[in-house]
Amino acid sequence: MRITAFQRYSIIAAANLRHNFLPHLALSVLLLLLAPVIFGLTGLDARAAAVPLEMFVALIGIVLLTPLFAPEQNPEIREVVESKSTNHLCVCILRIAMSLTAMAVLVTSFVFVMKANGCAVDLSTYIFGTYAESLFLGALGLFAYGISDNIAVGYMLPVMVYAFNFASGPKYFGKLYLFSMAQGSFEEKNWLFGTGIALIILTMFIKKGVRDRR
Amino acid sequence: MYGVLFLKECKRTVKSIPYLILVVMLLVFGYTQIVPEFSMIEKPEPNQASYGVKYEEIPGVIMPSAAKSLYSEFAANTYVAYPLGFYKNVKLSDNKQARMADILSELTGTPKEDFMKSAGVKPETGSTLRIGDGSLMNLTPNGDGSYKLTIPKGQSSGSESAGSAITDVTVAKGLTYERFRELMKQADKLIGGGSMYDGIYLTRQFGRVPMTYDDALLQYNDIIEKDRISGAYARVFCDYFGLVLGIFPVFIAVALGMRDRRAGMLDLIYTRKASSIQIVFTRYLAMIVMMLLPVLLMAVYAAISVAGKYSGMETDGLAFVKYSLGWLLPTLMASTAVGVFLTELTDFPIAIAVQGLWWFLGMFAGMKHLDGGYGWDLFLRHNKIGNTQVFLDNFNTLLTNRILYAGLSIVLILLTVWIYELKRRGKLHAYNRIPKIFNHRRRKSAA
Repeated sequence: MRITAFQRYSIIAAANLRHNFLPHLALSVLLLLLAPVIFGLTGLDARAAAVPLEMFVALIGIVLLTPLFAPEQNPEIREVVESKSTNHLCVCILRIAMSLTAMAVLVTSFVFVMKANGCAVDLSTYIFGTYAESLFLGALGLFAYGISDNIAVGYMLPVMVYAFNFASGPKYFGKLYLFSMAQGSFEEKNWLFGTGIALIILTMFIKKGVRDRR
Repeated sequence: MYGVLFLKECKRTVKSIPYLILVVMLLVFGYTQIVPEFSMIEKPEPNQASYGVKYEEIPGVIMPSAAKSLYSEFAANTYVAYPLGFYKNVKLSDNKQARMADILSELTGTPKEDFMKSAGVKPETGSTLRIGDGSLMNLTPNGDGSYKLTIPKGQSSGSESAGSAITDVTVAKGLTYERFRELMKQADKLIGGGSMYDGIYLTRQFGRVPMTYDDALLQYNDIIEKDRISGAYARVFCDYFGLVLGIFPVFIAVALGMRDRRAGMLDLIYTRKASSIQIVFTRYLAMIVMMLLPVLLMAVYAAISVAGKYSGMETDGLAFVKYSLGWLLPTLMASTAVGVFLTELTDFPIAIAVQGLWWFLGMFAGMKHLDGGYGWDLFLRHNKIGNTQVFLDNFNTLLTNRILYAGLSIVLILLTVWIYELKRRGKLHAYNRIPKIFNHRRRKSAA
């Protein structure tokens, strides 16, 4: 029985959700549920409200986007997957889309909860700002994982950037400084968003190149 | 055999990408963050405009400013707290505000009602009802199922009015410092902990007094004589590197732990003659030694850098190495042990999330002890060159902390040995079990 491309990718998306994505999604939700325990989320002014978003909520990007190639971590599984007629690159793009959508939903919900708790957050700015940082950190992890083929390296790089930002402030990162919203600056978020997208595209190209050479 | 195995494991560690990243990270971090912090310590001169500030537990200084601060927070019903190192803006319920008024009343000798009135807190007893215009009415049951609505005393019928603020908040005569500390503890408990009335914060927040020339000279002499200069810098060195070693070793432990499975080498290793304890401990030891190596190299570099700054003065050439071993090694041991243990247990990189969360919380909880003082944190903070007396006063806490984390690491490694042995005997296969928790095996494959 022939199935349409839409049906095929729907089945893949459902299987990915069930077998790969769910633990990471659950961990992200758990992190967000932990946020009110760690931070105060009531009646914060604009700068104080940016702290939990930039320092904590944005970390879900690392959880959701970095482990994208984990299902094919085992070389034998990878060979089987790549021998299938369905383009593996399309499967990866589908996974990215799922991760980005989940990130958007979680970040938006969190910012709305803060707004409802009387925090002085400008909805569109804070949602975009948090999403951009989350995307950047996740894309950095995805890139590191993509080129090293080592999931620990994938997680290590964004954590390293995060730690450096925390310790050194904007001195070394300039336009890619992660915690700019808490200092009242939003321009950096556009750069983080753009760099994040560029890193995802670059990773896909590298992966395609490596696969074509095999 | 043991030596050969150890060398093999050292090579394996060095050749892993996460290890190389860690080395680069330590070098860059040391070069950009730590060494630039090493400014010269100048000897204080008489008649300087300022000698900085110090924190001292002087009841006459702490009590009045703490009482004033508590009242202003009470009046606004906005209490600032840092329970886990993060800013929290706490609002108390009317009941808790009433209890806070009790504390303030005992603290100042002013009647509780005055405080209640000034902050617009409604009485504790009886039910209240908020009506359309926002004002509060007392609800009293008549006994026949109906209720009587009355306007509370001190409130106009139009709106809930806050009384006038108490302008002169002074500490009650005869209040002892011990009782004052107890009251502050109660206030902190009502707020939920981590407020500025908490034991640690109280002195830091309200006991700030300017240093005199004699104080500054004493501090300087402590650095020169007790620390022999290098010790003061070595603590800052440990403060920064503790941040790195609190998280990054876990990546190496996870990467190496998962490598054998990926390479399909597990069965081969399981059948080797070496005992489980030998394999696990040798791997762990090799990781620790190799990760400590760049730290010690940076310690030597820092020691030379400090000695160069103070040429002609006596410095402790081994201070950085001694501090690295005593202060940083337990942190390195613990974060590596968490990675080794959880990866062996689950065959999943969950250790990164666990250690990441621990590191994240520790990073902010450590803010309480930023200038020394220490606590039970995984990585101890001391972000100030000097503060020698603080270090010496809290040395026992520091020592206990370090012994505890080193012990915890050994326990985790022993548990890893046990799990490893179970796997070797074929009694535990986490890799086959863990995914089943998430997967719905009863569903048929769509393919």
